[in-house]
Amino acid sequence: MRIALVAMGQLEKDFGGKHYVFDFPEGSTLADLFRKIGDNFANRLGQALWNRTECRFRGPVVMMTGGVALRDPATVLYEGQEILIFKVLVGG
Amino acid sequence: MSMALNGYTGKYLRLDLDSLKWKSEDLDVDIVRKYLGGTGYAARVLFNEQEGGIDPLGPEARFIVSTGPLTHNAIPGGGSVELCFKSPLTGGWGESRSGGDFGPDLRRSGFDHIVIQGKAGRPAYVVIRDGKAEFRPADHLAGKLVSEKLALIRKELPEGRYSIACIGPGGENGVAYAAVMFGDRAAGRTGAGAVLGSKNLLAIIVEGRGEVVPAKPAELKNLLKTYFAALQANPVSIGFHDNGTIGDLAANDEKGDWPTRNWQSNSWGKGAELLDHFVKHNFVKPYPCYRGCTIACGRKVRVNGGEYQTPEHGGAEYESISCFTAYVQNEDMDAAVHCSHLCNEYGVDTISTGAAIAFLMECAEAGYLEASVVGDLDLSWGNASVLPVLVRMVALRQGLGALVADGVRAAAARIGKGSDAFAVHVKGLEGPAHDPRSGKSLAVSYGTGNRGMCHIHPAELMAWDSGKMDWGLRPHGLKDPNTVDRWDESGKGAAVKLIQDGLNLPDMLGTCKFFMYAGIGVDELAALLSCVTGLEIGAGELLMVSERVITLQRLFNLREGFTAADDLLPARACAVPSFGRYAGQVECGIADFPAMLGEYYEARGWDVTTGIPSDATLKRVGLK
Repeated sequence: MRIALVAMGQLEKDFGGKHYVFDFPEGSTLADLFRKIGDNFANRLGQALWNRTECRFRGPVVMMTGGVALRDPATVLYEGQEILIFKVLVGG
Repeated sequence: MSMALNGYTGKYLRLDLDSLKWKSEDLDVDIVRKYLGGTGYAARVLFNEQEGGIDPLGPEARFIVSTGPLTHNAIPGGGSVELCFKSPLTGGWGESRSGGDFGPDLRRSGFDHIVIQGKAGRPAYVVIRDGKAEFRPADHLAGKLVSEKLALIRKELPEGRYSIACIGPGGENGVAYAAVMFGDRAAGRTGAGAVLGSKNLLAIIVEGRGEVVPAKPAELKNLLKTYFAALQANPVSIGFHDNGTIGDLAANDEKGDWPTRNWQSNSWGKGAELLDHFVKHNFVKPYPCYRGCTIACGRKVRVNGGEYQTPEHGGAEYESISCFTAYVQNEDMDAAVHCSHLCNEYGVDTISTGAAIAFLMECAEAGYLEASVVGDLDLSWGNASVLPVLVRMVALRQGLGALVADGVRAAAARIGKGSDAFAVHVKGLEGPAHDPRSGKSLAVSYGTGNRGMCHIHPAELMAWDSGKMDWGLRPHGLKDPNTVDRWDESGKGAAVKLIQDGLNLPDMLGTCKFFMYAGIGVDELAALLSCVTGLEIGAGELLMVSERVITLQRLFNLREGFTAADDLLPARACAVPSFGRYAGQVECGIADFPAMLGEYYEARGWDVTTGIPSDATLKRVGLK
């Protein structure tokens, strides 16, 4: 199945592009997408954004589909899903 | 004219501590229309009722607890309260905000504001319920920690849903940056706690069941439904909830927005590691600071065991943690979480306390401190174990703590020997944990903020040219942040003026600023104000009211003797970083701050040399 990843705002620069499409086997989860991001972008994202050891974003990066936040790594992805990804500012 | 507007209780409470008497008075509708509420209303009262040059800790000083027309649990960000006073730290405009239920509960108790004057003969606290006030003796509370005071007070109150504001030992001891605590939340900046302490008023308790009546209830209901749905799908709102303010630690370190080693650098390279430790070992869960908050940026945190064992509490905000890590190069997150908690227990501002300790460490390194005052304390950079010791010493005004208890400006004046180069402040307020060298618009805001070197009052400018936020201000003339280079100095002044006017609105209307980050912009606030009060004030006029308030606060400072020289940044905050990721990078220094200031003055209609508002400006904003 094909999953689209769209890097919003500042993240477009961090990822080096805005739209990415990845192929996954059926039943793949958000954790699989994290692994794919790690494989493809870990060097570009740097340690402020990406935790290599745990294969996850570090700090306030928000992933959303249809206006709903994706938080649980066990979330099952579906064919044609478009995932928007934002880096947001939260410092007080 | 007495009050006849929806959205307000129509009353304010005047507490005279000399006589321990209280009076309920009508709000003046003309003042309300012109200043709305919150810091606006308070600015007008302080400017009119108080003479310039008074002792901020004297009985004649006024202390105002203020809410706005949007302060209500059902309004986005409506759990908010503002404290306004002459600051004992800066000698100028003092203002500090806290989230929590206190603001909405004050309005339920029957009052929009409290004006406090005089000085009680003995320690006292006041209970405000259903339009009445009752003073109670508080000798037994003196010297207690904040949590101890809260527990004792709650035992003395009948059943009810009370909100409590109280000071800690820091306020009782007159620490110039003492906080007023609202449970785990603090109104920390500029010394509100010291002013209450000087009045012998240790706590204010509010409770009530009254509700203000909105002008257009059905329209308001629909509007709220729309706004809350949008907030739920807003990435900034989600980001705040999931990460808390501390979530920016690593990113700010990387982008040079993390003052380190008393501002010798703007990055350290330890942010990611510290954040990982926090997430794994200290973070418990998110929590809302008031009933109904949908963002819930608060963090419940703890330290399990070890030297810095700390019970679960609400804390570890970005600023607090940064000041007890990067400022002093402390790599032990547990110690930082512990110190943030200690500051809350003793009722002192985490930012100024951390900054004061960083100042002491640099003075010690330079050999500026007398050995007899330092004693056995090891003030080496990164020595975590000395931090809690110094927090207590500050709050209790002991030894080295007493030296910095009036702020770094006063401490540098006492120490001499060129130590003023290490005192990072504007107008006497210690700088927070955002670095203007990596987003130059923040420099202008630091210089011109009426309360001093503050990142959030009235606006967090870093979020514009570096963070690329616009808070819905682009339709009102703000340049698209995506077309602005964060390193540039030119052209920032005019933008800062508009952003300050916009971001000052939550302080006047009685809401939390973070909701403006999450989509409740100027137009949305204007729509809410219309539904709640019936006042048809468009977004443009709302910005003008805000400009009026900022100008009046400026006049307050000018009356206290401030000049354009007080708008200048400390050299340390302009210098090219001496180490870290941006070491030696010229673009990371601030080359011509006076030119940026001139642009800002011009945009405000102030004299470009003196910074004094012109007659034409005073007329334009309705102050003449």
